[in-house]
Amino acid sequence: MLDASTATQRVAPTRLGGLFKSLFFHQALFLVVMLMIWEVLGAYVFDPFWSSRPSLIAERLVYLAKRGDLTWHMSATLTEAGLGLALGSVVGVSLGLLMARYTRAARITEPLFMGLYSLPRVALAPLFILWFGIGLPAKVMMSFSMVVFVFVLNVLEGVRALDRDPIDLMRTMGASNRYIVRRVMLPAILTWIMASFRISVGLALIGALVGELIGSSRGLGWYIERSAGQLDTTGVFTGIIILIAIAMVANNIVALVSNRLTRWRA
Amino acid sequence: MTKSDMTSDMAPARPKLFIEHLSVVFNDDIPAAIGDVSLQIAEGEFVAIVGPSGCGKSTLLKVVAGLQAARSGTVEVARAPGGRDPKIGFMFQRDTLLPWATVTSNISVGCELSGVPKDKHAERIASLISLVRLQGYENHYPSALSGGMRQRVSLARLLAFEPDLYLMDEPFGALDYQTKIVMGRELLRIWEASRRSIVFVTHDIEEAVALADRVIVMGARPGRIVASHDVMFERPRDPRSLRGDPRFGSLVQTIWSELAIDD
Repeated sequence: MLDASTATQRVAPTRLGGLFKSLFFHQALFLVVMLMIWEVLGAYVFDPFWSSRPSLIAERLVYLAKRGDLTWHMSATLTEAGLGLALGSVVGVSLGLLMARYTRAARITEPLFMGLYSLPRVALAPLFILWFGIGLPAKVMMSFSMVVFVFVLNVLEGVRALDRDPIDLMRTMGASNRYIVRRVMLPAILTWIMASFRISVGLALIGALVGELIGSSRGLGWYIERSAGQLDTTGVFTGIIILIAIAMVANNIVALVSNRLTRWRA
Repeated sequence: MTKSDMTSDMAPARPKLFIEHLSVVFNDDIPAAIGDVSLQIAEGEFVAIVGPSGCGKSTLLKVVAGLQAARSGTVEVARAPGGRDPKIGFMFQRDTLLPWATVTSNISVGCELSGVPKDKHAERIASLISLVRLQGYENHYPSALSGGMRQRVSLARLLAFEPDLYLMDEPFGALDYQTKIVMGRELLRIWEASRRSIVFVTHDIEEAVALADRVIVMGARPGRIVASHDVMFERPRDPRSLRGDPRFGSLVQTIWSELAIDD
């Protein structure tokens, strides 16, 4: 009897007790402690010139938000990465499907793709700036070049990993090619496409940032680069913090969509 | 005229499945997968094929389904009533369900490919779900089901297709012993109501004898028919009580000995 009552107490803690035990609470606590240590170190141990301080960064964030600079730079970087990702996914998925369909052509072109895939894409940035200028297109292309191969290779792999048995089964039942594509191939590849998105969100941001660092007139990369040029550490950290926030939100959105679309993977 | 009348009146006239001098060769360096097999299956007949692995029993089904080319010989499936192409339903040992589709959606594949009008689908699927006893699992994904339940979904999908000829390749082979017995009984219950022709491949002799009208024994290298036995038990049958019958045991013994000769 005694055991039963203590067990009940353990599984039904108070609402507040549940909060203190939750993972989210511990994560938030850890973050706050880290920021406090940074603050103290920045104020008393290191020269804030090198490491800035959370309070200075918060102040800068408010200042940027009030002046409208925050949305001005954020929207530039988000547009570049977003367009690059959209273009990369459409072109990548199409190319992957084509390569899966025309295996001979795929074998012929594969070394070229693997070569481009292995190339550190940063090396293309000067070329893109030469071709497309320092505006939006160069950054979109940078982003695009970062993500497109992820989609190509994933879709190719997805088609290769297709389970033949359900397809054979449907063929004996007289299914048309269109039916098989709709019922089997697309849903099977969808999971690979979602996996590509999860990888590509961060890569698309890298592409946009690299483009901005090398040549631009706005965007978070530009802001970080300019702040560094003026020895404004707080500005650099502010840019980095915004980028972290964007990347985390974007990752969560993709994870959410992906989990919704692949609910069947219990 | 009821379906059972049809089988008794028309069976001798034209076999549902007609196979003559069939041979299948994968590679000329090894014995034929199937060498000169002839076989006829009557309308409404339940035929089981047993044999050791490599005797070509699965290959035989694949040839009939059009998934495997033959070297030579004839394979004919009789036209369905009204002269339309016969619908051939295949069931694998693996469940081959679509993992991203719910139970309902998986079964509807059968409806969609059978040419049943769309407004009838929901009703058909609901009745099939209760037939295979999966009520309450309509919106579950295959990953949430046990092996036996998944095969029941496969069976419902097959039934939804309303095949004229059923080809079943060790459909319960991957299930545990008890589930296998239960599934066999369910299959008989369903089959006895519709009486379509079934070719049922298995390596389980008792399963073959318990379910089929006729058991065909195949041997390997090359794949060929060794023997054929009519199973005399009356229908409807209860496969479980059948196993206690002495005639059941002696037929199983006979088939055992025929398979043993081959080794």
